Amino acid sequence: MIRKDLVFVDAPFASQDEVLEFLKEQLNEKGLLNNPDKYLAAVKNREREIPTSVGFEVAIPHGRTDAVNESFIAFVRTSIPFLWDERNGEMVRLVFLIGVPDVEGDRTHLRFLSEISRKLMKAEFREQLNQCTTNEEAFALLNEINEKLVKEEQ
Amino acid sequence: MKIIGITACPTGIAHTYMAQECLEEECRKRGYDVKIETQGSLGIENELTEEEIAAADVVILAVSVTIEGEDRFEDKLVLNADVGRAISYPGDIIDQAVKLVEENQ
Repeated sequence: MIRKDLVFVDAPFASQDEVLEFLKEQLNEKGLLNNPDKYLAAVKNREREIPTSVGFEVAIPHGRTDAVNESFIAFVRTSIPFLWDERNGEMVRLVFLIGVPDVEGDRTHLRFLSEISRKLMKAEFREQLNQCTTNEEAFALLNEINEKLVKEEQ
Repeated sequence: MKIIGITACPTGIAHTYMAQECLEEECRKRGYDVKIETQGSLGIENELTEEEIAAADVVILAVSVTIEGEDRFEDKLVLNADVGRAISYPGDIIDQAVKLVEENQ
């Protein structure tokens, strides 16, 4: 569910809208969405309720809707931190965009999302993500978690 | 100090688990016993047992949705907290929980 072509290190974005628009196109191109605008609307509605920035320069926008074909997590690290939402004034550099279909059959995906959420709370893990210099390195770091989970479930 | 709690958020995908991690980590740092049940997209995980509930000094409910089994804590000291604050300011939440215990000793 984490894929190399959805990991973007040092992207030159400076606003929430730019990041979300960019990822929407990427996700659509890769066939993960059947209704990109509906998905984006779900994500933005969730942001409107309460911003998904959680401190530590991390935001985890997410949408659970039938506009998603298959669960995914996309990762963007911007070149510099930017203001995520004026309402709480938090700066963000690590963005994890999550999509889950309305009816989720695959628990492994959900388990991965919960595991990555926990890992993100660890300073050491965030440091590793911040120090990656290429998309490949960041992907390897995230994929390690995925592989460990898959192994555990076998 | 024995602290137990539940975390739950509307989509149950990320915040539930982040809050769990943050509260547990804060307690571990202070040398407190801790167990946090999650009620998220994976259902109930790390479920609190009757014994754990009986032994706990305080219960933290860091939830923004209705949870299952709240009646388990009828006779306990309960601190209601915001799930987002549990992530950003776990130290404050644990301080409040400890204060609640001390006030009721």
